[in-house]
Amino acid sequence: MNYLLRFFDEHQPRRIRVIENTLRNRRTVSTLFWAKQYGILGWTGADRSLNREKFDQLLENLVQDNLIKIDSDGQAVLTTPGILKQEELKSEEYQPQFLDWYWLANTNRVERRLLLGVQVVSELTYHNRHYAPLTNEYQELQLVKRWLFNCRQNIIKQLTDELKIFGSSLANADERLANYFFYSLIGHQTAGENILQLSKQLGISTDQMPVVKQDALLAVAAFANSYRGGALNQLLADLLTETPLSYSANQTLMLYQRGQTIEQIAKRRRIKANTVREHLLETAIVYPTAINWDQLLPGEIRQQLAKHYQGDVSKWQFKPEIVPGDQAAFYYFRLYQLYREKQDD
Amino acid sequence: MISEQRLLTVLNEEFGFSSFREGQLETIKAVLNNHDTLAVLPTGGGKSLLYQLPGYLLPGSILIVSPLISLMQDQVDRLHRSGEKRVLMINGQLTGKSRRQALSKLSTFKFIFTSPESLANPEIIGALKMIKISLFVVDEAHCISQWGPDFRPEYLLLSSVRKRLDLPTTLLLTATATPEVRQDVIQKMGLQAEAVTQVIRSVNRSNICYAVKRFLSTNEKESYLIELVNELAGAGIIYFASRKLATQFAEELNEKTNKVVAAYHAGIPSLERYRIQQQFMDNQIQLICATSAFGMGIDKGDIRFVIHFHQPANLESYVQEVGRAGRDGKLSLALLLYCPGDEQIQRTLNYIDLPDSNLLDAVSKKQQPVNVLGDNQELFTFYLQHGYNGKMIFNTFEKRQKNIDNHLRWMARYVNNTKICRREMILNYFGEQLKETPAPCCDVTEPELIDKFKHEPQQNSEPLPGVSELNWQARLYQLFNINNNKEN
Ligand SMILES: [Zn+2]
Repeated sequence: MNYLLRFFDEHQPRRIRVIENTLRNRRTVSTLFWAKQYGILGWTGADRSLNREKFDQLLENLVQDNLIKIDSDGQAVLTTPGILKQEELKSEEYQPQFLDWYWLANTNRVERRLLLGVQVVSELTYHNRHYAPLTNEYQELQLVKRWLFNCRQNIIKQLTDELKIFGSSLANADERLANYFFYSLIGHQTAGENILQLSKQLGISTDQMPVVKQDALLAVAAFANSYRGGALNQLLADLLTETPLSYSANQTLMLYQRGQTIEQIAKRRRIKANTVREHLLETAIVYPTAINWDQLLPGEIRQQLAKHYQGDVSKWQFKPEIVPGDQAAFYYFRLYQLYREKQDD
Repeated sequence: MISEQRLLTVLNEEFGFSSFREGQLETIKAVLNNHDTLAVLPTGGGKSLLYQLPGYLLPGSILIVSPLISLMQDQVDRLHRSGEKRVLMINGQLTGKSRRQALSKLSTFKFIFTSPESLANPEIIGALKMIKISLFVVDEAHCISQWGPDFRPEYLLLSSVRKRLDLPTTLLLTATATPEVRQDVIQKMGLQAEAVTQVIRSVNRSNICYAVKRFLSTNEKESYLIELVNELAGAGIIYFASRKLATQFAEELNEKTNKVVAAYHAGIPSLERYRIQQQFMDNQIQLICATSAFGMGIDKGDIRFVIHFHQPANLESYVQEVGRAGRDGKLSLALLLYCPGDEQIQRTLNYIDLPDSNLLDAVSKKQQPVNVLGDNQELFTFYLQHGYNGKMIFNTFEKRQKNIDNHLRWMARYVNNTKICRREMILNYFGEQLKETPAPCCDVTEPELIDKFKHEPQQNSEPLPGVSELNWQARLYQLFNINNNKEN
């Protein structure tokens, strides 16, 4: 069974491209919005090596097994056998625990850097200089060399201590996660275990392994992020982002929080007013605590919209003739959806 | 002029060998005497030595052009393992600041690996022009030939690259090339056939035995494979026509046989490929399910069998792929499994929808958008950008299609043959004569051949540790050599 089945629902038709774009980290406002509606925002960037062909193939398998139905608009729902299968899998599926950190880093890059760092230190502890690094990428090799040089003196002890603490916290969350993490590391005279071996040893199906991997790597990113000044933090620092927002959206937010209007921000940043609105929508979706709703969505607009829109926000249809705001109408509509959803939580 | 004795000393000091393999000394002497050289040496390792050793004797850098990133990676790994760190790989992954950094220090690298695509980049060529290139190596040189099975158009640019680098001494390396392909390669590189030293050795590998098994259906083939894998001794590779099948069979064979199996192809993430390669080298994995299209630079000496679940497109590829077996000189098996319809798979994989020459010209004049050229538009636009007109492209590809058909006919003859010694057939294809039939040789001369490669019953691999036996702390200590540190 491929792990995509978990992303579908029996009642809510879900756009398959939203799921694909979410997994592949294609962060448009629309994708983020729907991912949030589907409750899968945390899966953003969980499978960056996925491509269209592979994704479609996996969905095709689900359709052929009669587990989901896809309509002509590219929206899918679970079939009855699909519901049963999903229920059945729940007990054996790996349940990730660190997805809230989805925005913190590109886990592919974290994996490569971390494993290279561990490999280099491992070979160092065995005084071996004749080995093939797991990547030949010049930049990565240079970065790790510099890291080693900067904290050379007690790197071994520091890294061991940190990994011990990290391992315990992983084991607290799920023993399998700790084992996955340490047995996939590469070092002196060991290449770690491959996916088939880990799958067998952990009792987790191969299809679920990408989920375990994503979880472990987000966990290590979160650990490095919180353990400032530590060896892991120094190794990974440039891969960790400060906020869930894109750089540009964050610039917009800072100005907005200082009380500037959309037009003022657009002028100052030399971007379109619409782009500013997209940034604010992005903020409302991925970083809602940063939002002052009274400033963002004035009470009178809220009241006007309340007359036309009630109930399940994902079923609302945007009707330009009834939403105020002219060019900004869609922006208000989306904001109101997010606002209502927040009230209902 | 460097003496043979000196070369032997370097061989011993740098590589730990006491003698050269067939053709190595001749090749090395030729390049050290600044002769452009074409070396066609049978697969069996020792290829990197041909430029690595001159690298230690010549001033300046050695530039190696390699067709596949995976092959390049493997060569670079090998140099690293031998303790050589003055190695740089220039490819699409090296970008921005780190590329500028690397290019500014280019002369500090002894061995510079790159792809034909990267050599089309003016910044890279500019940097290479600034340093001394003492040897220009083209790996898998048969890719330059239009008649070669792996023909890639980017290779046609190498001749002009060589000119721009002021004609460094050139070494063309390949393991298999028919006389026709050799000639084409030399010509496409802009070299004169008379002026090129050719070191040609027989493609015959007398310790590899050839066999073909025919089936009526894929199912039959599949169950035979599972049964056989259980019985075959030692490590092996099985080739499939697609990544999907390679992955599926890896899981199935892992379940149903006593071997530890893994899939290895371009769809496997690079870290996982690294693990699998290392585990295969250490015999923790005994069987690899691979795709023919993916160049695997694994240099494992004791591969005992190479099975093709699907036939390759031509005998060159077949000989290259089975050549991974028996590099230690011990008896090894090359087995091809066939069932009706298999040739169609290759036909489909190699099919190119050829647009009409007027359409190509129209695209060239920008009267039509590029996408009218279909799936292979990049291929055709490459030719258009390099001065080919519609008619020339059309003719080139028509010839290529005939060539593919011709190759497949050879494969069919090989598969259907029950009378002629298979080794003799292969050698004849490469324009050679079989001088001496080794024993055993092939399933034609020896019908019970495959049985020779089976092991005694009840040979089991060690079971993996189960969940309860995993201990992440112990693993951490082992990684960082912690017990040992305490003793010290
Ligand atoms: Zn024979």
